[in-house]
Amino acid sequence: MKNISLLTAVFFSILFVSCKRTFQPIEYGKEACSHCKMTIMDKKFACEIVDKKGKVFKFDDMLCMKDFANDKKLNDEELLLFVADYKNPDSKFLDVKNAYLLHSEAFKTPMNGHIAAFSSSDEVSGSDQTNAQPIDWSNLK
Amino acid sequence: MKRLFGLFALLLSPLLCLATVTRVHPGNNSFSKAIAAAKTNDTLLVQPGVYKEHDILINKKLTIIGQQYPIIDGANKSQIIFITADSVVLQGLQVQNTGRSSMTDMAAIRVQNANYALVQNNKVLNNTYGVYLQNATYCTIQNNEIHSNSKDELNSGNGIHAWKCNNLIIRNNRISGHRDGIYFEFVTESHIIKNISTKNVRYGLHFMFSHNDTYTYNQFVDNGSGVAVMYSKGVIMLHNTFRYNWGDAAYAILLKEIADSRIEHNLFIKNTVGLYMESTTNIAVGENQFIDNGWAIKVMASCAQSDFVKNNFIGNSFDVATNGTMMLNNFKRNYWDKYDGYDLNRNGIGDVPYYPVSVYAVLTEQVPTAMILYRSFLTNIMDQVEKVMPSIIPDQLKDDEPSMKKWKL
Repeated sequence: MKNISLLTAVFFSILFVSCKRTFQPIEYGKEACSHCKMTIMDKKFACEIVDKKGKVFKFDDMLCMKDFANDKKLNDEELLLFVADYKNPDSKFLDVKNAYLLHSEAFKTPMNGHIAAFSSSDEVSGSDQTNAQPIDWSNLK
Repeated sequence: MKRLFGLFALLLSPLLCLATVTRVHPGNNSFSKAIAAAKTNDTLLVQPGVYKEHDILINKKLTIIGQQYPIIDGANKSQIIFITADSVVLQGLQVQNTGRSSMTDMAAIRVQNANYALVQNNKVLNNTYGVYLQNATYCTIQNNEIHSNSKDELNSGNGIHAWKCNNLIIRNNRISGHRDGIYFEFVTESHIIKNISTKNVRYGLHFMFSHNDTYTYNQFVDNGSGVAVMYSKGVIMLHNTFRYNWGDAAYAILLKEIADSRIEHNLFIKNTVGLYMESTTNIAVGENQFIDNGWAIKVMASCAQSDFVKNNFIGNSFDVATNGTMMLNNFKRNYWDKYDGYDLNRNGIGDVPYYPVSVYAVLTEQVPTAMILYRSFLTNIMDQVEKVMPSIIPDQLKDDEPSMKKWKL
């Protein structure tokens, strides 16, 4: 009997783990962008959507993520949106709504979105600042 | 007699402005110094040896010829050769070891704002970017060996990278181990001929926003995800071979938002997906061979006005897959090895139409994990039933005149 209760406990814990909506790491060089179908290679510009059901979509450029969300008419409020930190691409992804986004031709993103994300405005170095426009997710076209 | 003499003088006059030929020997920055000392139209013969130099600027019209492949070694520090003048010839060098950086694109040979450059017979080894063309026109890049085997594959660059160029000829190069073998962005009116692009991390060839280009007789083998042609018009793809592009997100050709293009006489062997099409208009797909692929063609419902004529489909797990019921493309006179119809009037054309999309192709498109039951008994029954009474498969997608015989291509 004890075994069975243990088993159900394990079963439910697995069930809950799999239901948790969370960031899923990207396998660079293997996985394709959900929108443009290109292989995701550039760690500096990768981003990800987790929808309300916990389904994960990965992108190589912020422009792809925005186009995808618009095409599928996803409601921003229900989504978890992640973007790579341009300065520390190997560290934790940033929440798009809190990140400091800059648009500049100098950012050579795979799909010419020209957008990079920083953890805060202090992180932006002088050379990246020139000709750059701060933007945010909601007014991204 | 006087007149004859005048003619002679006229004929010999080019000799007066004949350029000098200088030999360059290894030494402390001897190559850069020789270039600085040379005059326009001079020829430099670079003698064998190792030249540990980088950021070499060629800013006048010179002909630089390496003898027995002298080694220009960037020692992993910076970029190596910049060409900023018109009509420079660079040949017979071994250019190796650029620096690596995630911020600047480190190139072994960079042609910048220059025209009519000829880069040929070089060995370009272990660089981030091999040959980088930027605002260059009428340049020819031919017979080069461009290889990289960097361990940090994610930060590697492209073998031949062209950005905002036109009228290029990329011919007879062998490229491997880069991110994309050949990369075109905003490049028009150019030709890519007889190159062999293998084992690149991402694509063998990658087109972005590049109109009216032609690629013929190339081989793309064992690249990460094949060849991608995106957001372009008027691309002509003939006589190419696509082989062993295997993997979850791998395609022999990925077409996205392409219009008015031709894909003819190509060979697709053993690819996960032979031809993947999304949002395309007016593509002629004719006389290609699709052999032993997972999916020969995946054509999304967003594609229109394309004609698939006289292709051979042999030994593919799925001939055609699609994600909708609408079909605005035409299939005609193709040979399908899975066709089991008949030809009573013996005109070489099957009397009943062939439906190339199998039930299971439809199911796996919606539920990819259903693939696990492929080749089960139930699947076979479903397939047979659908053939008699199509209900799930898109019945508009059919070949009304399937060929009974394989096309000789």
